[in-house]
Amino acid sequence: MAADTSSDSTAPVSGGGGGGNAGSSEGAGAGAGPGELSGPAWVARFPTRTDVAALEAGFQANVRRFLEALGEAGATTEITATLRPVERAYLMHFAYCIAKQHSSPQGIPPQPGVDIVWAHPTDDESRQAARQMCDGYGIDALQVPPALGSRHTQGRAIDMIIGWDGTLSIKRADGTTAAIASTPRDSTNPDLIAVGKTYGVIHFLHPAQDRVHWSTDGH
Amino acid sequence: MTPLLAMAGAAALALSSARPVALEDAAADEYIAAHHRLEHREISVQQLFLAATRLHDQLLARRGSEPTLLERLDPQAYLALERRLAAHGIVVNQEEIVFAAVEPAFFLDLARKYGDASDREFFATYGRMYPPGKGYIWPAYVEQQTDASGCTSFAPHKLVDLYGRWQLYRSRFPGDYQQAVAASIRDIESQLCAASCACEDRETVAAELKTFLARFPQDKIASQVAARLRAIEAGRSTTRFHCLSG
Repeated sequence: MAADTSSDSTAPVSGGGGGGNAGSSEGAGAGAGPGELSGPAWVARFPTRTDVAALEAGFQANVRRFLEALGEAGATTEITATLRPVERAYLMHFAYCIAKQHSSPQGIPPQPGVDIVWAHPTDDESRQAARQMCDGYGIDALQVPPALGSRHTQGRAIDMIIGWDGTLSIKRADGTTAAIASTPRDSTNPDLIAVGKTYGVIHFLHPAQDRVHWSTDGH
Repeated sequence: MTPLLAMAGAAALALSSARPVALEDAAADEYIAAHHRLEHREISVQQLFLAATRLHDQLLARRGSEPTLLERLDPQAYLALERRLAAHGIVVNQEEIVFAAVEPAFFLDLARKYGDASDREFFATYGRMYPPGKGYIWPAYVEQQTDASGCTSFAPHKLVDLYGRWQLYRSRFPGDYQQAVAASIRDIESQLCAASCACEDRETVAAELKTFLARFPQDKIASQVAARLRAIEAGRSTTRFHCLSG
């Protein structure tokens, strides 16, 4: 229902050049130079990590043990995200706001270390560039902007796609074995979620609302 | 103290202790009142859907990088709001992906009870677009890969069938649910013409584009889809196959 609703008004465009971040200040990164216009080239920068080593130390150890148990049990796992740099979260969030919610490119706050210019010579060009970024991030079909801050930006969350065939016999952290014959055979399975919890790897507390997300505390 | 003064004092005390209604409660009250009006057949299902859209806008309005109203709620207030709205067909989420979405099955029930053919068909199609078990905000043709991103599935007939259903709906009920229908069609068009992160391989993507062209040869995006198909077949496409998004 949210796909074409708009909360922000579209301000007039003040022409081209490097004035994309109205109100940007020293120390914001954007003030260091003329900046670079938004567009698909930004997608490859500040990449989301998919390695466990990027996680916060305590959580990392728990995740390694859980992954080992999954592997020994014969489950397939694909890690799709661990640490998302705050810079990437910023780029994803505001690309979405401009492309899908018609936020004014001039009104986007600056982010330290991200020398991006959101405002192109015309609003259409600004939106087209933001749309290309959304497509590159794979957030184009999302109804809402990605969060600016999350357990991922803290290194305390992992997204993974899990699957198996038949009954999954998997060790809990205390060494006992859980035989999971229930369905679905994916990361939303309540019995698997209970096993993850023994390792301190907590599935998102509303499994249906974020199917692939595990963290230190279920948030 | 005279009785009059005592009364004035009591009134002042009542005024000073009265708390202003929280913004989230006011927004929820307005939506829930609309739901009750539907149950009394004072408004239509479509008007309730619009009320849900207004509620979404109120909860998720954002200025700059400040958190939305939904994100600002403390855990207790959030839980109370979540429970209230769940009883009226609205699902909210405060973390990772912040959203307020309608529960398609709830609204389909409302359409069956209080609506007409247009309402029933709209929510039947809406439910196909946002099927159960996909987290309320992920369209059927997107496979969630991270908390915030996913690849586009070009599995046989998935995009094309949904496109056909929305187009049929719009032709049968041209004035109804206009914004939501237009947004859905626009989004599927965008996937067919430009989605560069494909879940499947080259052949599967090409096959779905061919299916589209066979079924909608005169469609306004047919030439773009045909150009994309040619690029894929010639190995010139920028589409990422078996793509990992995010």
